[in-house]
Parts: sequence; structure tokens; C-alpha cells
Amino acid sequence: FDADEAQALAKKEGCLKCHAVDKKKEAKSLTEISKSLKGKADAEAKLLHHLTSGEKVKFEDGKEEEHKVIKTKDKVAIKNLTDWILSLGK
Amino acid sequence: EDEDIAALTRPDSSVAVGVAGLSGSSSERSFFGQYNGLRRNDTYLLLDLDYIKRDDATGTWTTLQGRDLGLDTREVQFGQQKQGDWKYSLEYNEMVRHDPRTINTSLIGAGSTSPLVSRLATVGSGDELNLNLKRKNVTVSVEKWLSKSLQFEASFKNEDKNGARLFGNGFNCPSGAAPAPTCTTAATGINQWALLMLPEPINSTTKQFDARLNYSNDKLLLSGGYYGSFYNNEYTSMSATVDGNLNNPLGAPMGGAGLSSGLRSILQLPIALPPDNQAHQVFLSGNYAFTPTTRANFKYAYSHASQTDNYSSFGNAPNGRTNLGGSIDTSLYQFGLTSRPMPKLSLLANVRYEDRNDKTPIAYYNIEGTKIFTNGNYSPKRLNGKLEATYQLPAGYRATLGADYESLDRSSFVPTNSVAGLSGLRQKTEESGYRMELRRSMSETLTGAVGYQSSNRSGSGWLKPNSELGVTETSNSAIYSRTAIFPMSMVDRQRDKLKASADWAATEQLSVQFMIEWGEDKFSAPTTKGLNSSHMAFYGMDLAYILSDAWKLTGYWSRGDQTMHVDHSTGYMAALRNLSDTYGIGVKGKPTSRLDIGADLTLTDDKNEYNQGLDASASAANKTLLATSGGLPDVTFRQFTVKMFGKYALQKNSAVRLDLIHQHTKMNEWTWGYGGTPFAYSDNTSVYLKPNQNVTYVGATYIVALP
Amino acid sequence: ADAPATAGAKPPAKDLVLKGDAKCTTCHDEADEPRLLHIGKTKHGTVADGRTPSCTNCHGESDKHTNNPEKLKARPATDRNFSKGTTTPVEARNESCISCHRKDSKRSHWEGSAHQRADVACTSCHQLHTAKDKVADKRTQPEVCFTCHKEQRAQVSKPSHHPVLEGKVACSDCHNAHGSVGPKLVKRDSVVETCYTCHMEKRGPFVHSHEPVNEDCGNCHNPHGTVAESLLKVRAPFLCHQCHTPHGGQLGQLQGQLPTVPTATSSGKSGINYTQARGCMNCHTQVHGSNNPSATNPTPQFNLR
Ligand code: HEC
Ligand code: HEC
Ligand code: HEC
Ligand code: HEC
Ligand code: HEC
Ligand code: HEC
Ligand code: HEC
Ligand code: HEC
Ligand code: HEC
Ligand code: HEC
Ligand code: HEC
Repeated sequence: FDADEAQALAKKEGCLKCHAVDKKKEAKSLTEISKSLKGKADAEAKLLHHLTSGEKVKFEDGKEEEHKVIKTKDKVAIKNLTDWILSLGK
Repeated sequence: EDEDIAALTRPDSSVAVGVAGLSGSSSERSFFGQYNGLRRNDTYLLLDLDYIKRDDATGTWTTLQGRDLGLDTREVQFGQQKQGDWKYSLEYNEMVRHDPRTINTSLIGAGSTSPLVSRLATVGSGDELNLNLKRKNVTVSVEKWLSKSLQFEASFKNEDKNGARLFGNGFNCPSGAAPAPTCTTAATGINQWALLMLPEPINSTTKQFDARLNYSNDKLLLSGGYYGSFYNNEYTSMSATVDGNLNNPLGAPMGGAGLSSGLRSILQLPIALPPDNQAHQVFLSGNYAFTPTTRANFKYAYSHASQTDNYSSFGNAPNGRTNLGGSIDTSLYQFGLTSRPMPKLSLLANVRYEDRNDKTPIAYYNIEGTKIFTNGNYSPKRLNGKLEATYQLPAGYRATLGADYESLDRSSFVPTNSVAGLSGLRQKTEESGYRMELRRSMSETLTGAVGYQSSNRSGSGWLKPNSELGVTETSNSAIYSRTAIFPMSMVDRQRDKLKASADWAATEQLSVQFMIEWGEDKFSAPTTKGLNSSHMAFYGMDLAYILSDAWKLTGYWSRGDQTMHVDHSTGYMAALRNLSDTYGIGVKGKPTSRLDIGADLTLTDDKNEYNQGLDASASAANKTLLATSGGLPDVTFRQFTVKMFGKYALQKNSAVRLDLIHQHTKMNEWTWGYGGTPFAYSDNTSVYLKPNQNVTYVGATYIVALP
Repeated sequence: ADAPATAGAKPPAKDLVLKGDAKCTTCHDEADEPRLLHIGKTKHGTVADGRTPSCTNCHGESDKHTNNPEKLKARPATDRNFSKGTTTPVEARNESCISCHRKDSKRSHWEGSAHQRADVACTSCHQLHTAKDKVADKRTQPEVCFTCHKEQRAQVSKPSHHPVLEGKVACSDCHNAHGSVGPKLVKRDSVVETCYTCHMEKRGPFVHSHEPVNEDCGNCHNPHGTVAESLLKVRAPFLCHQCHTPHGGQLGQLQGQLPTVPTATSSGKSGINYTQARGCMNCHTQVHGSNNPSATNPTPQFNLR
């Protein structure tokens, strides 16, 4: 995967408004998320589902929202992004 | 991490140093280098400086900025400011104009008040003379908040202007202004005349002083103060000395005893240069909110201007007058009201009245043969009014209807003055008109406007010049010969204008702007001579295309087309047309995270046509003339410019930048010559411009951020 | 029993640039779009100046945007939005700015000005989240004006022009884009007063004045650029023929072009001498007025010297 491209996509999609790469913001950092998914077999599928289904997520202050759905339809780019996220925890 | 944020939020300071090189000789760059300070030399030092610091604890800024420090267009600014409390700044600025034309002359003392003219043996054999004007100005300004609602602002600007500009004089014997025998002490003929090129020497200082106090609260803003402007010219007059003979209209030395002493002494008389003057103004302006949706704005200003420059360098002023004693008082009143009585309706009303009162004393300055008369004075009163209503329609549309009014009362003609060269004057002209517009100001993809405007000007009866002094009102039909010309600023005029524009976001990537303008003025005077009508059209479009996140493309084209019909009293009719196309293409890109590049191409293609026709009353001489010469050729101007730059970031805080400009200019005009033969003054002075110019500029700079 | 409500709450977030910006910068920080924080480099970012805004002064409180209480799929926009494609009406956008800037004397006549009436937004010209506002620098300002004013874009590159593209004279030297008392947004109260700020020598009054000069420089000049020298709308003699019946009945002619050459005693007021070189001004040198008081023959009444 291409880390620069993945980060650029994350930024363009607005992910970085809520997640930083390695510090806590409104939501957990991507690194932390990656760590929590570490070793799980279905990690990639779970991520993909999360990014495309708009499932409910809970902010720290208790409010709930449907998670942002990724806009791009480019499968390769999404895979690149998820691969990158998963690599962060290592 | 905090350091990262600080870097993003702290004002930037930087220095850019480099060198620039230019191709071609100075005459090859006379258009390119007219104002940019790159005319004279082939290499230049490039130096720009930006020092901007803010003390965050107190909000105090310190700035030192320099631009083009290596050129003679340099600018330097230094200032400090505690934001919201006080501020001072000092600015120094140089501007230069190099006249694009080069003069070939034998004149001695060009640019002084006493040039010496002596005939050049042949055209082109003299010395080259390039004229420049240089302005240097210093501005000091201060600002202080006296309280939360009271602010004091003041500035002072001093500008020195030095150099010379293309100028000259001429005379013709005999003339109404200098009848025989003044002009006839010649051995051969009395039809002697001469035209001389004499650069106007310029060495003047202007000072402007502005001080105001601003008061504001939630509803009211009041701003009152003083503005003074002072003009001081080192020179009041210039007088040439004409040595020896001058040319006759054939370009050969005048025969017989040569230049007549009458004409010589006229050519050597002092020529007036602009006199010192000063003006003082006090004013009060501001706005007031009656309610959040109804507001007024207003201004009152009173000015006193005077001109009392001493006549001492001239002879023969009227008895008792040592200066003009020029004195003009002007009052200006303006009041505007805007209101939104309903959420969808906005209204506007505005009036402006300017009352100029010329109190300059009248004296017998003029003599023409046996006729003596005074100067005039000019005290116009100008009234403007405007009413407008805008209504918000569904789907983001807004409709506007407006009415405009203007009247200009030039006040009565001074009866001891005499009119020259005009068939008639009008004391008062009045113009009223209406306009309507439909605008779509909000939509995802398409916004735009269409508008139509129409107005009609007419005026009071025509004042016919009396054969001696003064004017008499006369009916149109009775008195004028069909050749009379009436000033275009006074004759009746019907004006119509149409305008449309649109902004269209065609796709995510592509946006387009269109615009069209069309206008027509029809003038009607008691005769069909003078300015008859004029037409204008302007249209074009702009494109912007986003190729990718890193690449953007822009392009435009526009065309202007204007025609004026000006008919001369003696039977010729001119249709002057200007056709002008402008094209531009630009590309900007960021191929890698360190590199920024861009290029802009522009092309201006401009053509002026001077079509002349003749009506039945034209003289036989003019008929042959037009038939054989084909009239005046077109004047064309074409300029192609390409500008490219690349900027490469070496490190986080440093970069190199490369600029390349190439310009090609082609100008073909008959003003200073025809068919390769330069126009020659009576002393064989000629004026030249390289018709085909190619310039290439290369500049390299190193930019480093200051800590 | 003692205040468990605060126990799990995170400490109040820190402001990044403006006072009270944490409401926004918890999301919109340097990781989002670093350019946003550039507002810190500007006058608006001077927190020590108590008058400076926070995000919400311009964008509105925007609770729907920050909390998305209705749990909409697409996060609702801020109360006021300025970017391309915004649905915030121009007036509301401008009110964000005017609420503070109405107090500036330079903007006293914004209401009712041509730009205000034509729905031009402050942010059509001004950029706020950048260290260098293009419109405030005279070298980049014309680009901003040209986004709307195409005719002026074409005119300033004609051979006779003010040094606008050269960055020495700015549009704002002659115009107050925020509204003025003069016509066409001219900076001072009238066209002539505006020109006098740089060409004060034309003010006079003169012994022999020229009426159209006092009236409006625009009678003869186009300040944005022309092909004729000295920014003249038309070349002499045609310029003057719009008002005058001059002496000499010839057509405009050129030296060397004549089918019938002049004679050694031809009149100087021939078609050549008022067409070429400085045209009518070859003799009528003082078009703007002459202060020569001489009352003997020949007097300078025709602005001849
Ligand atoms: C408006 C805020 C917001 C935006 C924008 C946002 N997220 Fe999230 N995201 C959350 C919250 C809240 C959670 C769940 C709680 C947490 O992890 O803190 C979450 C969870 C996640 C998770 C973990 C899911 C899991 O099952 O554990 C991933 C992965 C994720 N986001 C990726 C992204 C990506 C990729 C984008 C951009 C396309 C994005 N987020 C945009 C707020 C946001
Ligand atoms: C060679 C010199 C010369 C040129 C060129 C010239 N004039 Fe004159 N003009 C004079 C002189 C001398 C007078 C004084 C009266 C006279 O001799 O007729 C004059 C007088 C005038 C007057 C006053 C009234 C009259 O008609 O006598 C007007 C108006 C005028 N000129 C306009 C023009 C215009 C317009 C042009 C260009 C088309 C022009 N002049 C070109 C020399 C010139
Ligand atoms: C919970 C996280 C969060 C907070 C808090 C937040 N925003 Fe946003 N903001 C976002 C997200 C996510 C987007 C992108 C929405 C989209 O693309 O659909 C956004 C978009 C925007 C935009 C629009 C950008 C555009 O181009 O349309 C503006 C303006 C904005 N925010 C301003 C603010 C301001 C002002 C505040 C504080 C009052 C604020 N935001 C608080 C998450 C947040
Ligand atoms: C002085 C007024 C003002 C203030 C204060 C301000 N903004 Fe803005 N903001 C604007 C304008 C105007 C725009 C439109 C884009 C531009 O001109 O840069 C904008 C655009 C934005 C955008 C969209 C950027 C994009 O990609 O188009 C976001 C997000 C945003 N602002 C967030 C903020 C945040 C967060 C703050 C506080 C730190 C803030 N703004 C403070 C005026 C302001
Ligand atoms: C809450 C108050 C407030 C709001 C809202 C606000 N401004 Fe300002 N603005 C200021 C202050 C304070 C200054 C600094 C004035 C000074 O220099 O003394 C300023 C300065 C400026 C400047 C000058 C910057 C410079 O570098 O000299 C511009 C331009 C400007 N504002 C435009 C805007 C626009 C456009 C908006 C709306 C999008 C806006 N402002 C909204 C308070 C505000
Ligand atoms: C058509 C373009 C345009 C529009 C619209 C516009 N401005 Fe400006 N503004 C300028 C230019 C040009 C300057 C710099 C020169 C000047 O001071 O006139 C400027 C300067 C400013 C300054 C700082 C200058 C100073 O020293 O006072 C402020 C503050 C400002 N504008 C606020 C606003 C506000 C608020 C609005 C909306 C009501 C607005 N502008 C609308 C063009 C514009
Ligand atoms: C040297 C002074 C000066 C400069 C510099 C200047 N203008 Fe003007 N402008 C004027 C005057 C005077 C008028 C009104 C007279 C007229 O329309 O002939 C005017 C009129 C206009 C008009 C209205 C035209 C119409 O027909 O309604 C626009 C639009 C305009 N200017 C835009 C600009 C732009 C854009 C720039 C910068 C490229 C600029 N001006 C630079 C003096 C100037
Ligand atoms: C967003 C578009 C836009 C920008 C940018 C813009 N203008 Fe305008 N301007 C307009 C519109 C629309 C009008 C009204 C034209 C009309 O009614 O025909 C106008 C009118 C004018 C007028 C004529 C006023 C009158 O009374 O007729 C002048 C002068 C002017 N603008 C100068 C400027 C200057 C100087 C700038 C840059 C500092 C500028 N404009 C930037 C849209 C703009
Ligand atoms: C900001 C200053 C400024 C203002 C205001 C200004 N000018 Fe100029 N003007 C200049 C400069 C600088 C030059 C270049 C030559 C020089 O330095 O005198 C110039 C040159 C000219 C020229 C000669 C151009 C040439 O090609 O020879 C004319 C004509 C002119 N201005 C007319 C006007 C008119 C008419 C107005 C008002 C509508 C005006 N100017 C307002 C600065 C200004
Ligand atoms: C009756 C027509 C007319 C009017 C009105 C007029 N001018 Fe001129 N102007 C000219 C002509 C013709 C020239 C060229 C003079 C020359 O070649 O000597 C000129 C040249 C200039 C120049 C460049 C040469 C110099 O003297 O520095 C400036 C600057 C200038 N005019 C400013 C103004 C100003 C300012 C006004 C209004 C107060 C004005 N003009 C009104 C006809 C006019
Ligand atoms: C817009 C109309 C207009 C234009 C254009 C115009 N003039 Fe005039 N001219 C006048 C008026 C009005 C008078 C004043 C008549 C009077 O009061 O004696 C005048 C007077 C004169 C006089 C006589 C001055 C005197 O003191 O008696 C001369 C000479 C002259 N103009 C030459 C020119 C030349 C040369 C040009 C071209 C550069 C020109 N005019 C362009 C309107 C115009």
C-alpha cells in the first residue's frame, strides 16, 4: 500500500477531522483503532463495513451519530486506506 | 507539536534574493519596461523582504517590508501597531515611467526651462533622448483608539515628481490670436508656421494631509476631519530660444530671410507650466441605523481651493493683477437611505448635490485683434438622485427596478468673456433614466444577471456665441449653419445599454463564466455634425478546469468592439472603430509535494480603424485627397506574453524560484510617422518607437523563511 | 455523592488559535486542513485584541453542525457558510463581517453601494484563512477584481495604461470597493478629485481654463487604458472634433502620404499638423488650462502656451 496516498484520501474524506493518526481527538486515533483490531481475522472486512454502512458510533461525550460513509467508490483506494489503517498499530 | 501549531498560526517572515537578466536593447523593451523599472539595464538585483512579527501577549505587530529593492520601483514600509490601540507606519515608494518613445533631436537643454532649438541638418542625425518621470513618495500615518468608540487617524504624504515629458509648441502666422503685423515681419510670405518638440520640465512636490476622528456606537458612525492638498511646482514657465532657421512644410529650410522675426519671437514667448495650488477640505460623514433594517448614510464636505501663483515670470498681465487670485469653494451634500420594509423587499434612495462656487476675480486677460475680454469662471451645480427597489422572487431570483436623475447647471456665462471654437453652449443639461435587472444569486450550478438601462439627456436652450462678447440664447432652427458643432457633453443623448452575465458550474471540474454587454448612444444636436452616435459591444468567456487535485487550467477570451461617428463641419465623416481581442490561458500545478509550477499566456490583439467618408459638401481638395490616399491607415497593437515560474522547496524553510517572461509586442501607428518615414518637427526632430519588440526576462531567486 | 457528573468528563479542550475556537478545532485542527489555522497569522488571529472574532462570529454557533442532534447522515452545514456552493444568503454572509466592520470609516457607505446592491459578498474579494489576503496586496489585487471585471482586464494591458499590472497603481487607489460618495465607487468625492490625488497640477484654477477638464477627466481619458497615447479615448483630431469646430477643413492626413504635397507656405493648421505628433496639442499645448496671464498679442487664450 501507499501510505501517502492513504493519508491524502483520509484527509480528503474528512476522516482527520475526527481522527488524528496518533493522537486522540473527538474520536480515537487511527493508530489506537488499528491496535484494537490487531490480530482479528475479519479486521479488514469489519473496517470496510464500518466505512460503507454508516453504523452508529458513540462519541466520548455520549452523543451518538451515524458514522461517516466514505464517499469514494474506488475499491482500490479504499483497500489502500484500510491496509494503511491496519498497519498503523504495528 | 505546539511548535507545529505555532508555525501554522505565526506570521511569516522571509527574504528573497536573486538576479534577473533581460535580453535585447533598451529600445527593444520600451513597452515592457515602461513602468516596471526593467528598461535601462540588462541585469538587476532582485531583493524582497518581509519581516512580520507579532508579540502575542500584547498583540503588537512590527513589520518591515521591502519590495523590488534592487529596481528603481522600490518600496519600503516600516510600522508598528498595537492592534486595537495605536499604530504608526512609514512608507517609501518609488515609481518610474520611461516614455516608450525615443526622440532624435539637436535640442540643447531638453528637460530644462530654457531649451535651445537649432535645426538638425537631416532627420535622424541628432542625439537620442529618452524621457523619464520619477515619483518618490513618503507616507507617514498614525492611528490611535482614544476610547472604545473613538478613533483618531492621520496621514501625511509627500511626493516629488521629477523628469520631463513629451511636449512642445507651435504657431501659425497670421492668426486671429496674432494678426498682422505681429506675425508678418518676414521677407517671404506671411504663412510661416512652426512646430517644435520641447520636453516639459517637471519638478514638483505634492503634499497631502488627512486627519480624521471616527466615533462609533451601535447605531451611529461619524467620521469628521480635514483633508488638505498642496501642489508646488518648481517651475512656472519655460521659454525656448530658437537659433537660426526652421523648416517650411516641405521639410526644407524656409526661404528668403528664413524664419521671420515675428514668428521667432512668438515661439520664444514663455509657455505656462502648471501653477501652484492648494485645497482644504473639512468633512463629516457616516451612517446611522434607524432600525436594523433601515439605515442612512451621509456626507457633507466643504472645500476651499485657491491658486495664487505669482505671475512674475510672465510679462503683460492685466493691470493690477500679480496673480490670478483663483478661489473656488465647493460644498458637497450626500444622503442615502436603505431599507428593508419587508423581508423580501429592499429599497434604496440616494441624493448627492455638489455646488461649486468659483470666486476667481474677473480681469481683462484676453485680446484678439481689437477685441478684449476677460477670463470666465465656472460654477457648476450638480444634482444626482437615485431610487431603487429590489424584490426577492422564488428560486433565488431577485428583480431590481431603478430610476436615476442627474442635472448639471453650469451657471450663467460671464458676459465679458468670449467663446471660441464652439457653436454653442448650454447652461443646463438634465438626464433621467431607468434600469431593470433580474439576478439569480444563489443556485448550485447557475447564477447570473440580465439588465437593461436607458436614459435620456436634454437641456436648456442653446447659447450662441455673440460675435463680440458673451452669448445669447437662440432657438435651434433659426440660426445655425449646418456645419456647426456642439459639445458632445452638452447635446441631447439617448443612451441604451444591455448586460448579461452567467456563472455556470458545468461539472465538478468545469466552471464557465459568460458575459455580454451592448450599448448605444445617440446624440442629437441642432445639426448632424460633431459626435453623432457611438456603439459598444463587449463579450467573452472565462473557463476554469480542475484537472486533478494538483493541476488546474484556466482560459479566457474577450472581445470589445466600439464605433464612434464623428462628423466634421467641412464635409467629412469619420467612423472610428476599435476592435480588441484578449486571450489568456493559464496552468498551475504541483507535480510533487515540493514543486509548484505555473504558466500564463496572454495575447492582446487590438485594431483601430479610421474610416473617413465625405458628404456632398466636401471640398474638391478633400475629395481628391481621400480618393488618392485612401485615408488614414489602421493603428494596430498586438502583444503576446508568456510568463512561467517554478518554485522548488529545498527544505521546510527555503525554496528556489525561477521566473521566465517572454514578451513580443508589435505596434503600428501613424502618430509619429508613416510608411517608414518619421514625422519631422520644424527643426527635424523626430520621435521613434521600435515597432517590433522582443524581450526575454529570466529571474532566479532564493527564498528563505526568517525564524 | 460528590459530583460524579464531572468525573468522566474530559478536561476542556484547548483553543488552538482564536479564543473559544475549541468548539471547532477539536475537529478542525492541523490534521484536518492546516490552512484553516492560518487565520492565526492575520489580524483576526490577534487574540490580545479583544475585538477579534472567534470561529462562531463568522460561521455562527452551529450547534447542529457540531452535535448533529438530529443524527442526520450528512452532517448539517454550519449556520453560515462561505465556500463555493453555499446556501447562506449573501446578506447573512455579509452581516457576519459588517457586524464588526460597519464601524470602520472606510466602509461607511457599504450599504447602497454598487457591490452591496449587486449581491457581492465580502468574501468574494477577501480570503480569511490565509496569511496573505490577495485583494489587500496591490500586486495581486487586480486578479481579484478581474474575476468580475473583464473589460478592465482587457484595458489595462493596452499600451497606454496606469501601472496596474506592474503593481504600482492599484484599483483601490482610485476606487473604494466598499462604497463611496462619488460616481462609480471612485475613492474621493468626484472623478476629478480622485485624479487630483496624483495629478494635482490639473486642479488649477487657471487663467484660461478648459471647461470639460473641470467637469470630468473622463470626457477625454479612459483611466483603465487605451491604445492612443495619454490614455486618450480617441486620437486627436477626432477627440476635439466631438466638441469643436476648428479652423482648417482638411481631412486627417499624414506626412508622406499626400497626393498633393504642401507648398512652402501651406497653413500650419493643415491636416498633417493636427493629426500627427501630438495632434491639436501641437499648438494647443495647455489642454488642461493655461496660467499665462499675458494680455498682449498673441494672447494665450486658446491655450496656446
Ligand atoms: C464526525 C466525526 C467522524 C468522522 C468525520 C469520521 N469518523 Fe470514524 N469514527 C468516529 C467515531 C465517534 C467513532 C467511534 C468511537 C471512537 O472510535 O472513538 C469512529 C470509529 C471509526 C473506526 C473504528 C470502527 C470500529 O469498528 O472500531 C474507524 C476505522 C473509523 N472511524 C474510520 C474513519 C474513516 C476512514 C473516516 C473517513 C472516511 C472517518 N472515520 C470519519 C467519528 C468520525
Ligand atoms: C499649427 C498650429 C495649430 C494647430 C495644429 C491647431 N491649431 Fe487651433 N488654433 C491655432 C491658432 C494660432 C489659433 C488662434 C486663432 C486662429 O488663428 O484661428 C487657434 C484657434 C483655435 C480655436 C479657437 C477658435 C477658432 O476656431 O479660431 C479652437 C477651438 C481650436 N484652435 C481648436 C483646434 C483643434 C480642435 C485642432 C486640431 C484639430 C487645432 N486647433 C489645431 C493653432 C493651431
Ligand atoms: C464533531 C466534529 C466537528 C466539529 C466539532 C465541528 N466540525 Fe465542522 N466539519 C466537520 C466535518 C466532519 C465536516 C465535513 C462535512 C462533510 O464533508 O460533509 C465539517 C465541515 C465544516 C465546514 C464546511 C466545509 C465545506 O467546505 O463545506 C465548515 C465551514 C465547518 N465545518 C466549520 C466548523 C465550525 C465553525 C465549527 C465550530 C462551531 C465546527 N465546524 C465544528 C466536523 C466538525
Ligand atoms: C473572520 C471570519 C472567519 C473566522 C473568524 C473563521 N472563519 Fe472559517 N471561513 C470564513 C470564510 C469567509 C470561509 C470561506 C473560505 C475562505 O475564504 O477561506 C471560511 C471557510 C472555512 C472552512 C471551509 C474551508 C474549505 O475547505 O473551504 C472551515 C472548515 C472553516 N472556515 C472553519 C473555521 C474555524 C475552525 C474557525 C476558527 C478557528 C474559523 N473558520 C474562523 C470566515 C471565517
Ligand atoms: C468579531 C469581530 C469581527 C468579525 C466578525 C470580522 N472581523 Fe474582520 N477584523 C476584526 C478586527 C478587530 C480586525 C483588526 C482591525 C485592526 O487592524 O485594527 C479585523 C480586520 C479585518 C481585515 C484587515 C486585515 C488586515 O490584514 O489588515 C479584513 C480584510 C477583514 N477584517 C475582513 C473581514 C471579513 C470579510 C469578515 C467576515 C467574513 C470579517 N472581517 C469579520 C474583527 C472582525
Ligand atoms: C469588490 C471587492 C471588495 C469587497 C466586496 C469587499 N472588500 Fe474589503 N477590501 C477590498 C480591497 C481592494 C481592500 C484593500 C484596499 C482598501 O482599503 O480599499 C479591502 C480592505 C478591507 C479591509 C482592511 C482595510 C482597512 O484598512 O480598512 C477591511 C476590514 C475590509 N476590506 C472589510 C470588508 C468587508 C467587511 C466587506 C463586506 C461588507 C468587504 N470588505 C467587501 C475589496 C473588497
Ligand atoms: C487611475 C484611476 C483608476 C484606476 C487605477 C482604476 N480605475 Fe476604474 N474607474 C476610474 C474612473 C474615474 C471611473 C469612472 C469613469 C468612467 O467610467 O469612465 C472608473 C470606472 C470603473 C468601472 C465602472 C465602469 C462602467 O462603465 O460602469 C469599473 C468596473 C472599474 N472602474 C473597475 C476598475 C478595476 C477592476 C480596476 C483595476 C484594474 C480599476 N478600475 C482601476 C478610475 C480608475
Ligand atoms: C464577485 C464579483 C466582483 C468582484 C470580485 C469585484 N466586483 Fe466590482 N462589481 C461587481 C458587480 C456585479 C458590479 C455591478 C455592475 C453593474 O451593476 O453593472 C460591480 C461594479 C463595480 C464598479 C462600478 C460601480 C458603479 O457605480 O457602477 C466599480 C468601480 C467596481 N465594481 C470596482 C471593483 C474593484 C476595484 C474590484 C476589486 C477590488 C471589484 N470591483 C471586484 C462585481 C465584482
Ligand atoms: C494612484 C495615483 C494615481 C491616480 C489616482 C491617478 N493617476 Fe494617472 N498616473 C499615475 C502614474 C504613476 C502615472 C505614470 C506617469 C506619471 O508618473 O505621471 C499616471 C499617468 C497618467 C496619464 C498619462 C499616461 C500616459 O500613457 O502617458 C494620464 C492621462 C493619467 N494618468 C490620467 C489620470 C486620470 C484621468 C485619473 C483619474 C481618473 C488618474 N490619472 C488618476 C498615477 C495616478
Ligand atoms: C478636453 C480633453 C481632456 C480632458 C477633459 C482632460 N484631459 Fe488630460 N489630456 C488631454 C490630452 C489631449 C492630453 C495629451 C496632452 C499632450 O500631449 O500634451 C492629456 C494628457 C494628460 C496627462 C498626461 C500628460 C501630463 O500632463 O502629465 C495627464 C496626467 C492628464 N491628462 C490628466 C487629466 C486629468 C487629471 C483630467 C481631469 C482633471 C484631465 N486630464 C482631463 C485631454 C484632456
Ligand atoms: C467635451 C467637450 C470638449 C472636448 C472633447 C474638447 N473641448 Fe475644447 N472646449 C470645450 C468647451 C465647453 C470650451 C469652453 C468654451 C468657452 O467657454 O470659451 C472649450 C474651449 C476650448 C478652447 C478655447 C479656450 C479658451 O480659453 O477660449 C480651445 C483652444 C480648445 N477648447 C481646444 C480643445 C482641444 C485641442 C481639444 C482636444 C484635445 C478639445 N478642446 C476638446 C469643450 C470641449
